[in-house]
Amino acid sequence: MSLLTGLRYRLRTLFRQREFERELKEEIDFHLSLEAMQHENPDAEESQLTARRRFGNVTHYGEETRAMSGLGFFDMARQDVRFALRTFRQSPGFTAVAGLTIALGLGATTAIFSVVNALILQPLPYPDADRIVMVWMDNRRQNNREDFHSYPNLQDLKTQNGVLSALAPYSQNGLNLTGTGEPQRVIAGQLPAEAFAALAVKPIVGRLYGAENEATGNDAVVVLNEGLWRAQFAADRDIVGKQIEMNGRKRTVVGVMPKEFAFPSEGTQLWIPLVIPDRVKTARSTYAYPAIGRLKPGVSLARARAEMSAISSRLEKQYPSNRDYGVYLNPLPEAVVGPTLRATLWITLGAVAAVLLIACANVANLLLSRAAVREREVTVRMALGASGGRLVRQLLTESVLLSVIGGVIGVAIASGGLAVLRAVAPPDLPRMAGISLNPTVLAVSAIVTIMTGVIFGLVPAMQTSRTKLSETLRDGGRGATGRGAQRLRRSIVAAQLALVVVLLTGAGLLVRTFVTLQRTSLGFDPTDVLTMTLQLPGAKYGDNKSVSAFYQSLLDRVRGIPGVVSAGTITNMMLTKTPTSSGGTAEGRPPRDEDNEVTFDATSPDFFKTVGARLIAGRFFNANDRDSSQQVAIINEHMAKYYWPGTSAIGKRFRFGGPQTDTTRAPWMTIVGVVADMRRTGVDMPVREELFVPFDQGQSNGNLLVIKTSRSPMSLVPSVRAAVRAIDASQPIANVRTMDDMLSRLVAQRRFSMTLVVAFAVLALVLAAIGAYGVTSYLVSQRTKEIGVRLALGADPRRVVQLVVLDGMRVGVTGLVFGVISALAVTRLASSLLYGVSPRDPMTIVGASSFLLIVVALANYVPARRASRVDPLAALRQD
Amino acid sequence: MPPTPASQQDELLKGTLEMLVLKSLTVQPMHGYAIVQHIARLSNGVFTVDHGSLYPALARLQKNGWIVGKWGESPTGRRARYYTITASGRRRLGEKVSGFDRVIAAIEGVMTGS
Repeated sequence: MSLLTGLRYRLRTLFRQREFERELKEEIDFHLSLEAMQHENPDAEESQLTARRRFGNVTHYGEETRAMSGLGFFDMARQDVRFALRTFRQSPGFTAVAGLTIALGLGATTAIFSVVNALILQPLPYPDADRIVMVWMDNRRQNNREDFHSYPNLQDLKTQNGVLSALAPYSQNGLNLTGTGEPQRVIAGQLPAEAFAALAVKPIVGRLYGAENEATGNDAVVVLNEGLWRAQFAADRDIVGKQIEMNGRKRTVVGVMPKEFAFPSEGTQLWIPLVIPDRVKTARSTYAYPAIGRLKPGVSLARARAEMSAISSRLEKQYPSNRDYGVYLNPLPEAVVGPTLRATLWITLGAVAAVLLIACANVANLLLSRAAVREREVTVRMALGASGGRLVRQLLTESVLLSVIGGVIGVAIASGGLAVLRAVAPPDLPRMAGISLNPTVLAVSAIVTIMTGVIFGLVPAMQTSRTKLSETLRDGGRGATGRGAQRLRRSIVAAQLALVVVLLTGAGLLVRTFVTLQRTSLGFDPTDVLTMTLQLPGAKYGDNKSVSAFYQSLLDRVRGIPGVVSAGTITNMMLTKTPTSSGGTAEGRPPRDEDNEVTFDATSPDFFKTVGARLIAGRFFNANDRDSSQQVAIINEHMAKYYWPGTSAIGKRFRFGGPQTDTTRAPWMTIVGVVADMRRTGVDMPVREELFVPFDQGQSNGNLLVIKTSRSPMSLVPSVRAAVRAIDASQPIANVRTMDDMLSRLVAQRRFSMTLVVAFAVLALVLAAIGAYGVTSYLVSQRTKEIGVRLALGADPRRVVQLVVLDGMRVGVTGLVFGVISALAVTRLASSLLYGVSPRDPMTIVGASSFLLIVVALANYVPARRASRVDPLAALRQD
Repeated sequence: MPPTPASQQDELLKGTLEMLVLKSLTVQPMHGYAIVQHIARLSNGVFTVDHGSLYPALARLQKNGWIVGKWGESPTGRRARYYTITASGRRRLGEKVSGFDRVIAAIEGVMTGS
């Protein structure tokens, strides 16, 4: 019964609030009038006053009653929110700055952390992915830890070790998929069954092929990726057993792998058995295979590394050709997201954490300053009867509401930022496309910002609510914000500025690196050059004659296309870390241990002209350099200086292999030309010894077609495609892009990291400037009276500006000193991302510092100027 | 003008005030001012709390269903809210009084014993 009665009362108060308020007022008025009637003259002002005194603080008891009636929570919350929104409207500047600060901090952190999470923290889609290792040949001769193995060496490593449960070579190839409409170029992984075992992923349809398929004649099988299966075969579950045609050869589909399975690389569309040619099986000096393995259960990476190194040391002693060839094990997760990208992401995450810290510090600072400014308002409200708890709730509601508003905008910024990141990310970034806002990350960032709001909202609120009313009212509102609070605020600003110096320095270093890279002479001219790759299937183009005929005819046709200036071919334009290369011998000079392998590419006569390579000595190739004519070569300047220092290389002879190598297999080549070095391994990589041979003397089925154009290169693609079709309708072209584009991909990761860090540095600078501005504004408002007195006593307004700015700059300089010290300590971590600039580059540090000082001076100047315009009379009358 | 005499006395009186209100209402339904007068008269003016502090107490008692408030006409003809004690309010008063009696008895025992 009592429950029901009580409940009815509660519901009534909750849903008929206006009535509740009216009735309460009426009841209290009635009470007061009866009390007044106790006096002789009830209507006299004095009687009314006595009645009120007997009653006590009407507002206070009204509020207590409201709280007691249980209407309390929701009603008060609503009231608080409404009140908070009103105060926000009254100070739009504060609201915008604080809200935006929270939004930026939250949004940026969430976006970046989502990327880091997906790329680094999320495990790869393989069971126990951290047990999978890439096994490389550690080539100490050329300082390349990730070089390829020869097959015999790999077999020795495999049979002699007790630490890996699987170890297998693999390869990757482009293949022409035909018989399904348009001829199509697909990326094929050549994986032995054991490599699949190392990765331990099961097919979603059918089965995998076995080791028995790794012999010529028995290898006509293929496993598809889910993506290709859906796109080309309409996800046909009966695909198993059907045949598809690749490079003119039919293969039977045996299975389909899940979409996430992306080995050896992102975008691998199908897998075929790796058949090792008999010749390679015994060639200990043919380095052709990377390898993948899996650690045996219970074996640590360190132990595996030690044992594998021990085996490779034995091999070094056993086979002279293995000297300085070790072995290097690298966990797959680290291989997929390489060291540069890893460093970039961690550095960016550091930058983001700094920005979030700055944002939180700013919010804290703004709330502290605001609490100080509002101290009088709060004390007045307390004097009018608001309870301490209620005021704390009110102030807390404001800061939480602010966090929530900022948070909502922050989510929008985060998803927008993520879209931008996806757009500017390097194309080879794995799993980038699938990255979306991570709810956990968002929740964590939201909690962090809201906690900031709560903590820094609560501290001043508690302080204020405990204030001695009389004191605060008397001394003009400086009670709870004494010297200590001021020092705290200044320290926060100084810390912010220090973080900004670090970020600005980092950004400056990356920009300088990028500019250096852009200025580095490439040795060739990539403007208006169209490139594409062609791979003639061996089944159709089995002999040199047919290959030669195809390319000769293609170049003739392409030259005839309007807009084409010249055209040529080269086996590979840009070099990987492990390009086609071989050891060689210069005539009359015995090979030395320190000799590096020399790369070789076959080029058509017009290739050098097409890419604008500079001839230093001798001549380019011409139509007379044929299969049957004298074997000739063009070398780069670097090679000429290495093998023939001080003399001309023209007319000298060079051949691949050592002194014992059969001269019919590796004949002497006469050097006919020397070209200026081309940076083909990437602008930030050292140039190596390079050798070029005429197309007919070293041809291969796959080539890069390069076309110099007199108009927009991409506009010529249809004509070039038609030219290819006219010769062979089933021949696809692939990787169609301009050479500029090709180069920009080389620096894509650098540009990505530069963009990120610069963006965050700017963001941090803006936030810190807001912080400095906020604090100076606050301090100025606190000193209005003092400034008024100074002005009244005849102080020069310019002196006042100077005074305030100098005061603010003291904080700036403190921050700067700490910032430079931290920058010197921290930028070293980024050295792997830098090129041509020291991590302690003084120019960058000075530049960043002076930039920061200018911004801080500006942030202080604005409120200082406002201070100098204070009307002395108004300022003095203020209290 | 100190707004909240949030002193111990206040806390101590809160429970007592509720008990006194319930006790007063067992005589007859009363409006707020009458309750104050009733208590003041019977306690010989010992309880001199702010009149206002009655209203939060009334709200709390209503919320718990121990009393109900209904609008009626006062002798002067003005509308006034009259409070009536409910059955559960009487039960509550009984519990309170017996608890109070025990405390008083205990104090008396201490004070009169050696």
